Amino acid sequence: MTEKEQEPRLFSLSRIWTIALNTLTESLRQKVYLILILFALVLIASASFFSQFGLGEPGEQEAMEQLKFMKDFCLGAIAVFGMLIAIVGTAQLLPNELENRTIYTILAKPVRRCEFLLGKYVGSALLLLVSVAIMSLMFAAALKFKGDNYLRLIRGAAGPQESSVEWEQMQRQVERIRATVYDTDLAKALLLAYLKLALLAGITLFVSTFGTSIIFNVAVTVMIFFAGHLVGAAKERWLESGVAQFLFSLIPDLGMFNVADDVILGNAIPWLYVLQVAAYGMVYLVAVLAAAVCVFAEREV
Amino acid sequence: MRGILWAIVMLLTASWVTLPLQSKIERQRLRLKFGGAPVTREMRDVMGQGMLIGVLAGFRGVVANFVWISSHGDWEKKRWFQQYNKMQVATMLQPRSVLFWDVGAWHMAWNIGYAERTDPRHRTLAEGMKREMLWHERARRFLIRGIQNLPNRYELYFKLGWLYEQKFKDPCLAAEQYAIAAQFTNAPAFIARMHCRNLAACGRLNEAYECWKRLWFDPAQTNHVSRSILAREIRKLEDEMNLSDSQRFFPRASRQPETQ
Repeated sequence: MTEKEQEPRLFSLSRIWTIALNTLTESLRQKVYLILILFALVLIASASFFSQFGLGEPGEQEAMEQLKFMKDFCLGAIAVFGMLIAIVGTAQLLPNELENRTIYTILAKPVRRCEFLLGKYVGSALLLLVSVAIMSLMFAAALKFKGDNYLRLIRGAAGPQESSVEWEQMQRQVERIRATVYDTDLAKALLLAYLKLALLAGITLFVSTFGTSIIFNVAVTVMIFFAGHLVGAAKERWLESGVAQFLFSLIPDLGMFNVADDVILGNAIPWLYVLQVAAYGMVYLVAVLAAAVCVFAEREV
Repeated sequence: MRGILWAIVMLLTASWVTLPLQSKIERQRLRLKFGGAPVTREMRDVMGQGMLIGVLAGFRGVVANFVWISSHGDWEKKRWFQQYNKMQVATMLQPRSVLFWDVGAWHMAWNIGYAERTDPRHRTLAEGMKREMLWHERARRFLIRGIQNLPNRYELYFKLGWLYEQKFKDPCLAAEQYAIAAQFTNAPAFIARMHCRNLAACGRLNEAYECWKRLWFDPAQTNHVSRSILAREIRKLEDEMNLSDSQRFFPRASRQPETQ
């Protein structure tokens, strides 16, 4: 029987899902992942202590300043640890399969190479989803804890004997702090952060289809990550040149996904913007995965 | 080899397909004023290598906070210019932060200004006062730059008005800024009252009188404290302008407004 005849004819989503779940379980059991997520959670939980630095006047100004610091810090931690999990978690998927020779037993079964690769990617994306969800929950809890503390302080400072103007002022402060803590736009920032990480995982998987070692995969993806944040500035400098624009657009503009700063500063993020960036990310992700499938199809294993 | 070629074709196609979408998103980012100023050499000198890498990796907000926090250290060591430079960098990194502009200007005009005036190293009080005024001017320019970055927020117009009123002792300029701030729908009701009060302090009594009367009918000023402030200010102006009973909003006999 030739190799072509052995390959299953139909593309199976259930096979992809099985590989994905297996990849997710394997990743969740890895010590590197557990250490990374533990550090991330400790850092996010301790953000309320870091945010004791501040220059504002005591009261509402101080509260707003510290809540801003806290949001910046926690979203930064989610981005950094998410990036580490995306790159380290995905970079080792293929090299480990090859080194442990488990890939042979999988590909000997009626599983297409593209299904194997897509299953690995979906597993990695699920891992990122779980990680971002856990970190976001911790962030929400820490933010609520801090916000409630400030609300209690402000309410405690105003006694029942206060005049109605002071009462009104206190109510306004409470509303502003509530709006800062329960800001629904934070979900948009987290959604785009997740999409950026999913794209980064796709790029890492693509790199690992031709990469020879985990270190190579990590190094190349980190470079692409930095380049992806600089490409926006580079494009601004070369606005007139169409060729330069086209060449720069080969590298995904990861800066587009960064809306956390603007959300924290209270700038409205339109859904249209979120959808456009998501569409951009999806197109790029599909292309990267398709390219990965093409390269992996010919790779000697 | 064929697979690699296909991979290149895929990536080229993706960048070609996404090109119009990318420019659309970039235009939108510019319109919405997302992100901060591009990284310059000046910023790099103040931030240092580590923080610069953070900015380049997309952690602009975190780095801005660290710069801001480190400016607190300069404040404690009385290194005003280092603090000033760091505030400039923090606002460059996050030009859309009301807090940075607001607190930065407050530090310059109130805290640093006072510290300079009372600094025993200055030989005369006049020298101290001159330095204090320089810091007031820095705070004013800082707030104006903040307004240029955030023209759609009332807070900085209000703070500039407050600076003009408290430090420059210029109620006319303060009234102008309060007027702009009061136009925002989310501005607190007291800003409109501060506008009227500063018009009166500026000597524009007729305008101030009209301003107070207009506020009397403003739905935002309906609570009883606002009403009593408005009534008091209107009566005070009427006395000051020496209006006859027929011209008065609150005729002297009844002490009640003509119209409600």
